[in-house]
Amino acid sequence: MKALVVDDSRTMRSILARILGDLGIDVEQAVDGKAALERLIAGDLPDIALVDWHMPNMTGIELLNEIRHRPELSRVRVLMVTSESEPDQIGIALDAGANEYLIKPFTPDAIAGKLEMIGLGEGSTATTTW
Amino acid sequence: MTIDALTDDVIADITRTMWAAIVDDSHDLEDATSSGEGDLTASVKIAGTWNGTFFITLSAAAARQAAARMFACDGAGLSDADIRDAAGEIINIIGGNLKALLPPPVTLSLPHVAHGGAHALEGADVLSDMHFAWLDEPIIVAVRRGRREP
Repeated sequence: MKALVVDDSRTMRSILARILGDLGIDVEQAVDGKAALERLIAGDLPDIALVDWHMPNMTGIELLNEIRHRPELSRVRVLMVTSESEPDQIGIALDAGANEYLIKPFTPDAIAGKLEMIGLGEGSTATTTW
Repeated sequence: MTIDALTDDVIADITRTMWAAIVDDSHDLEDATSSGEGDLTASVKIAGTWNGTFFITLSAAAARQAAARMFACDGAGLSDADIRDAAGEIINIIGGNLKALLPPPVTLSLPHVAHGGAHALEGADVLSDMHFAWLDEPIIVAVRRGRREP
């Protein structure tokens, strides 16, 4: 399985990469939504993108909208990982097409649980063909 | 607008909870009476029904040790940019969770990080100054009400 971590904080990218790596997931990183979109358009689609909300150049919601409005990208699952914790914000992200939503801070178990809910957990039959 | 939710107790509780979750769950933030000026300050601004800024100020040693724990390393190889980034992420998470206590709509800025004890905003109302000690190093969490840039 491959994941794309999209966060402008190198610290957070490092934390998420470590957790995902421990779960046996290959991790790529992007520093903002614009860099992530360029990588996705280039064609090597991940199974899932873990996306922060507030980033320079292109926010997580803007990236999510791009992913969901481009047929060639729409199969990428999106887990929003953000410090935005209000129900209204969660609703905005889910309405825009996020598969799941995780509020910072989080635990490794929470990440694993969200992957399971999305159908990408250990033992899941959901796979992506490259 | 009066924000009854942003009391010292609530700010301290959320700060301790977030600190334990993202930095160190084995050493609590302890109450301290005074923490000095600090060497690095990270802040996020809130705008909307309430306008203000959340700050965290750390000593150089606290900032490096906190970053080391977040990067899961010994800290020796961390750059100044890494340490600033980690401090920014700490206040981003604390601020995001404090923001949830405010009446919507309110927006959270990207973190701003500066050297020194930059939490003393000229012209802003002092809402809270919480002094902590972590591993004997000073940490200040401050809340200011006002529109001034940090």
